[in-house]
Amino acid sequence: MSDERLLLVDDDTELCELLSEYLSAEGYQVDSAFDAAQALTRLHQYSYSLMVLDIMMPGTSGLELLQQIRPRFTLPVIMLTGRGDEIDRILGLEMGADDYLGKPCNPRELLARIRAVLRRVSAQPTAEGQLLQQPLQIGALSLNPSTREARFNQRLLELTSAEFNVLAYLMQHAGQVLSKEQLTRWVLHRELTAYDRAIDVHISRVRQKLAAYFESEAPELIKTVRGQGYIFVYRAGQAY
Amino acid sequence: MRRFSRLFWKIFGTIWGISALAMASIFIVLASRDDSERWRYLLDTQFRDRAQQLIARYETAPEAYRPERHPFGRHPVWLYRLDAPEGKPVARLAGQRRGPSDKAVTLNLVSERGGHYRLSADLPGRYRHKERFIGYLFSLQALVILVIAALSSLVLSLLLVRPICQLRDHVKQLYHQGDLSARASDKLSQRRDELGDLTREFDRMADYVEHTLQSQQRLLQDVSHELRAPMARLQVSAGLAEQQLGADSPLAARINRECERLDGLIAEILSFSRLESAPKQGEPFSVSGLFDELVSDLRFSQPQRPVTVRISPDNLTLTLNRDLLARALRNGIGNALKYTPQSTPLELTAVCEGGRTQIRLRDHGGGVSDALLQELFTPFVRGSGGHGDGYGLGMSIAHRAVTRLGGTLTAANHPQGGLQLTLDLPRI
Repeated sequence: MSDERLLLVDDDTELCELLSEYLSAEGYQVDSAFDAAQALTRLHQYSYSLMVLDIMMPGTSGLELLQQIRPRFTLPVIMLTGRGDEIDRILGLEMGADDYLGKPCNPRELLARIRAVLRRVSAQPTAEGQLLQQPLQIGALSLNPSTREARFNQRLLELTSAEFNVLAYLMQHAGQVLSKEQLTRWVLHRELTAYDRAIDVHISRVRQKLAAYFESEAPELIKTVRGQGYIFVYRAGQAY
Repeated sequence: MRRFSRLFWKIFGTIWGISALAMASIFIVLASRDDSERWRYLLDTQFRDRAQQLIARYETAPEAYRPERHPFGRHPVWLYRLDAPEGKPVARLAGQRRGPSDKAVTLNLVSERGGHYRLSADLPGRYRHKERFIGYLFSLQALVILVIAALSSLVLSLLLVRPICQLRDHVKQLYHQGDLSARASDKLSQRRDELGDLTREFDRMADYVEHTLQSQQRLLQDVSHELRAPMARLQVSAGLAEQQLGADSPLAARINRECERLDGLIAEILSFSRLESAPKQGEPFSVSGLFDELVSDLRFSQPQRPVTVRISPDNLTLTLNRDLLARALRNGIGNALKYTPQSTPLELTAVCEGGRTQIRLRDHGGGVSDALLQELFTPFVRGSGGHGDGYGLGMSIAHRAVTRLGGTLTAANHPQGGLQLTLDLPRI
């Protein structure tokens, strides 16, 4: 049995039981919480490797819970959203969820997402997309993968883990177009799916956070290349 | 003025026709009475003396008397001797042989010797009436009646037509713009006449329709929502069964596939019923970005499909709910992908002219039959020849999304083949 402990937060107790059974059979230790208060108690009791959070819960919603636990708890979060609730997804990703899945979902798909997120957290390098360990510096922007800190003119940028990875990969390949497929594989450790906006949301969040450091108009550091992907604009000797 | 011309002319015609008719009949009655009075007076004043002379001449020598043809000038007048007072004529003293008509005006005379006589005169022919009537028609009275008829028609049509037009606009808003919560203005619904009644009945009907539609939608949404929880549990149970039966079990695969199908249907019904509450406006977004997104989604399922994108002007920006527009276009594209061969091209065009944006999506497939074209946007109507995995909701969702945005979505077969969807977006 794996020592990885997961927390399921969903108001549907029967669903939690079934999911626990399914995930236990896959070798995880699973605890369930049926509302936000229980989830908080659980989070204080144990150190979980990952939380699966249902966004639609009566009382304190999943989004509110996510807001409360960040940044105190850094554990990765996969949220379950209603199908077609794009706003919930975007809000969830912006509040620091690592990935999302429409509910109801195939448990196999959930398992795959859990594995992908855990793989990323344990920083097992994939073959092609590997983050270098030495610090990166482009202009006033510096990144330290070992401490997972990003600084702009020495001021700390508050980035979620997914946002940090997106920025790190783009900087590592500055001046080179990275496709959405590549970024999804490297950052989220899974394949891009149809109507998948996770990477776009992470990138727009990084852009917004960078723009907040500029008084007037921010230079476009991360550019969208139509039909291809994203590029970190790099010119030798440039200063911001 | 044009808008109430139809009713105005009808009212004007009716009023004028009725006045003309009434005028004519009154004239005829008055004229005939008037004529006999006039002739009786004429007989009395002008012909009595002449008749007395003739009678005196007759009575002096009845045998030698020869009747005169025209003793009274041009007028057809007759003078007879009667056998008794009010009796039968026995001798003709004057006038033509044929005698007076039944409608002649008569005057009885008694001579100094006690003989009884009758003086008769024919009324002039009908043509006299006609002449006078035509004269009357062009007289001042007729003109006054005409003007009064026109004025009263105008007032009547203004009184009637304006509220009717208001009511029509109101019903248009209810039906064409799908705004079922619209109610008639107080001015219209507080009228005490029949139009007020009609307005109130319309409002009551709109209440009923709105209520029915709302509860139907709520029911659909509630049912779909309630179905999701058991759906989620069912899927996990299927996963558990798969764990126990082994991943390659065809039974587990089958259950999973059916679960996904059911899940898809529920998701579509939910998104269909949720459209009504989606906001119309949104953040400004670039159309090219949206199209890129759509094309990259499309590449996902059909990488070989040729797609042409044209946007004019290049930097076209819209301030609408991007999600609604994306959903409408995505469903349109999905339909094209499903029903046309992979090798046939798709064309996606956005043109902004004079503030109005039109987005066209055209495929080069076989088009759609006229019967299906009529029903394309009706929920649960499916075309033949698809993969049979749709629910017939895609196009109705697209239609509803565009309507929600305040635009219109129309489908037509392109003259050069293929189906063309046209989205006319509201002016911003």
